[in-house]
Amino acid sequence: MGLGYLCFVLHAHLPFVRHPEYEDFLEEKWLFEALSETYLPLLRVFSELEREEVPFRLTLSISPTLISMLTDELLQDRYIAHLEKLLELSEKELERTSAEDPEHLPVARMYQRLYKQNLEDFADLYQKNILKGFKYFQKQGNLELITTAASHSFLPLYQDFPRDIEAQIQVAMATHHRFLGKESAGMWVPECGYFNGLEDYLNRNNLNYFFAAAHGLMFASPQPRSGVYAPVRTPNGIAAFGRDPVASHAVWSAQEGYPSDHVYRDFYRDIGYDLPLDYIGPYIHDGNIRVSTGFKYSAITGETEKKLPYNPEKARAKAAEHAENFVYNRIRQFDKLSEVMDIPPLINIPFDAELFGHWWFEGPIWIKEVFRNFADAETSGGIDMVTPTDYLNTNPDIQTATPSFSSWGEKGYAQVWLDGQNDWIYRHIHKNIRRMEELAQRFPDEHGLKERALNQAAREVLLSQASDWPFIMKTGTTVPYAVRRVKEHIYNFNQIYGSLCRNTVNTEWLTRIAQKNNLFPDMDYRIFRKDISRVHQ
Amino acid sequence: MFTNNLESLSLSELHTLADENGLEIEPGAEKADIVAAIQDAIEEDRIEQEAFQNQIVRIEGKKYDILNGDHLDFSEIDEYELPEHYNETKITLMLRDPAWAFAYWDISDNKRYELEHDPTFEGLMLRVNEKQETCLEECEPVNTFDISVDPEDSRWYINLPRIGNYYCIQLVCLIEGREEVLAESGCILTPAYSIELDEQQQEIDAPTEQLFSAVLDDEDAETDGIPQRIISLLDNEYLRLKS
Repeated sequence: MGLGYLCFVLHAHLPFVRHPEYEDFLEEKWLFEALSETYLPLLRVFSELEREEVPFRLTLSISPTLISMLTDELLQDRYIAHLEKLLELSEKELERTSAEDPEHLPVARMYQRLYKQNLEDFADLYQKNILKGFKYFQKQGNLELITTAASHSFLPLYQDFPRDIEAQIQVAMATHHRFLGKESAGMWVPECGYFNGLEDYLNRNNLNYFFAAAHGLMFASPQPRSGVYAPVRTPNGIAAFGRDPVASHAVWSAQEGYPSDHVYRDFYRDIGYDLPLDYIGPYIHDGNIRVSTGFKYSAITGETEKKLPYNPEKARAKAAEHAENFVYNRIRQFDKLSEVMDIPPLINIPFDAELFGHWWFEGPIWIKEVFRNFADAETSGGIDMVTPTDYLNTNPDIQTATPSFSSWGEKGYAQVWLDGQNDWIYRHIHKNIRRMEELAQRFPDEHGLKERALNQAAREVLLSQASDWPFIMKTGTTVPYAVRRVKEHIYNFNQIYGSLCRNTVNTEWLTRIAQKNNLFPDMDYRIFRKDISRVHQ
Repeated sequence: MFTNNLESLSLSELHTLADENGLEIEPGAEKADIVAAIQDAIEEDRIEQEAFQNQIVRIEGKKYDILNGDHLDFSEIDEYELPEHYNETKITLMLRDPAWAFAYWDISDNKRYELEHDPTFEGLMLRVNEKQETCLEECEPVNTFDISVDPEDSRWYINLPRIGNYYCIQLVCLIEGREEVLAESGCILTPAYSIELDEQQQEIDAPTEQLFSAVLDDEDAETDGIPQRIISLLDNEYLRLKS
C-alpha cells in the first residue's frame, strides 16, 4: 500500500462573452488572456511532460460556455487578430526597451517568444481549436475531462426549479459529449455549491461524482469517518470529494501562498497603464481606455511602488523550488494522516485553472514541476496521482453520508451570489424560469420558427443564470457589464415570451439574437416540459 | 494606476464620478485634485472589497479584471429595462446560509389597488413559520414570528433562529385587526453547521479529532473556506481542538 492518493483538479471556466455587433469588445479579452496565459501554456506543459515521459494524471473540468467560445469561429479569428496585434506591439517593445529601457529587454524578448509560440500552437498545431489538445491528452490517459452546469449557475439558488436544474445538467452533458467525444463521468458543481438533493439530478444523468467544499463534507450526516480525506457516497450512490484546505492553502493563501513570492511576475503593473497614450493607444481599448496588454515587466518585489525588473529565470527556479516544497509537505501530510486513518488518505486539491498563468504567471511551470516531483518514486514515496474515477474503481466501498449545504465562496454558503448588490436578479430570473416552463407546456412539440424561438428562449434563461454575473456585482469588477448581461438575457427572453403569446415572432430580431448567443447547439426547449425526464438519450 | 483613464474624462464626468463615490469636491477644485481623490477612493474600495473576500473569490475575480480594478463605464445600461414588478401576488424564500434567508415578494396590481384604497388597511407583515419535520400544510409551526414591512418593500433578509428546522414565510395583510394571508412561500431547511455525533457518542473520538484538526488547525485555511462562527462552535462546543 502506498502513502495515499492525490487528486489534482483544475476547473476551467469563463462566462459566454461574444459580441459580433462590435468590432472590438473589451470583455472578450477575458478569453484571450486566459488562452494566452493559461490554456495554451498548460497544453505546452502537458506536451513537455509527455516528451519527458513523466507520468501525470489530473481532472480538468471545462465549462460548456468555455467550450462554446473555444469552438466559435468568430472568437477564434478574433484571438488570432489579438495575437497579431500583440506581436506587432512586441516588435515595438523590443525597439523601445533596446533604446530606452534595456533592463526590461530580456522580458520583452520573452513576451515576443510567448506570443509567437501561442500563435503557432493556436493556428497551426490546434487549427484554432485547442479542445483538440485536451482531447488528445484525455485519449492518452492523462486527463479526465468533466463538465459543470451549462451556464455555470449557482445551483442552490435554483432549488425550487427542478426542470431548470435538469436543463443545466442535460445541456452541459450534451455539449460536453458533442465537443469532447466522451460522456462526463463526474461534475464540477459550480462554486462547489451543494444543496441536499443535488445528487438526485446527478444520478439521473449518469454522473458518478462531484466536488464539495471542506465543510460540506465535514458537516455531513452521519459524521464522515475520514474527514475530507476520503470521499463519501450519498445514499443514492453519488460520490462527494471534499476539498482539502490544508493542501490548497499553500497555493491560495494571500500572505503565504507561493504566488505571492517577490520574484514572481507582478499582475498589476502593465505597460497598458504606464506608457504614454500616443505610444500605447493602438494596443488598448478604443485608443484611450487603458487596459492590461499582457506586457508586464515588474516582479512583485514587495509592498512598494518601486518594483524590481522581472527576472524569468529566477522566477522559474523559484517555481521549481515551490513545487518541491509542495510535494515535500504533501508527503509529510500523508504521513501524519496515515497515523490516524485505517485507509490510505486521499488529498483532493481543486483550483480554478485560470489561477495558473493568468494570475500566477509561473503557475504552469509549478504544475509541471509538481508532476515531475510526484513522478519521482523516491521523492514521492508512493503517492498515486488519481482522478475520482480511478479512486472509485480501486476503492468501491466508501462510507455513505449526505453532505451539508455549502460552497467554496466567502463564508462558505451563498453569501457571494445572494447579497444586497445582486439579489435583485433572482426575482426576474425565477419568473423567467416559470415562464419558460409555461411555454414548454403550451407549445409541447413545435417545429420550424416557433421551435427556434423556444430554443432561443431556453438559451436566454440559462445564460441569465451564470454565477459570474452576481459574483461580479458582489466583488465589484466590471459591474455595469454584469448588470447589462443579466438584463439583456431577461429582456431577450421576455421579448420571445411576449411574441409567442401574441403569435408574432419577429424573424429578423430572433435571427440576430440567435446568431449572437449561438451556444448550446443541442438545446431542446422540451427539457422544460414537466412530463419529460430526458430529451437527449 | 487609474489616473490615466480618469484624466481622459471631462470635468463634469469627474464630478459625477466623485458624487457616485461619495466624495465632496470643493467648488473650483483642480482637475488633478479631483482625479487624485477619485483614484484614492476607488483604490480604497478595491482593497476593502478584497479584504472581505476569501482567497478563492479574490483569485476568481482576477479573471474579469482587465482594467486593474478600474470599472469606469459611462455606457448606458438602460437599453434593457426590466419590469419593476410582475402582476402577481407571490412570495419566495431562499436560503443564504444556516442563519439567514432572503425573501422577495410581489403584490398584484388589483390587490395593491384594493389595499391602497381600503381605509381599514393597517399594514403588511411577514410571518415566519418554523416547522420541525415537514412542510406539509397540516403541520403546525413550532414557532412563529412576525416582521412588519412597508407596502413599498419587496425584499427582506431574515435571521433564522435554529438549525435543522424547516422555515416558510407568509405575506400577511392586516385589515381592521383581521389577518389575510396573501401568499405563502415554499419551505427551506436550515442545514447543520457542526460535526454530527453518533447517538451513543458523547464526543468526537481521538483519531477523528486529529483528522478534523488537521484541517482546522491552519488558521488561514479555516477562514478561507469555513465561516468563523462555525470554527468557534467547533472549537468551543464540540471539539476544543486548540485547547
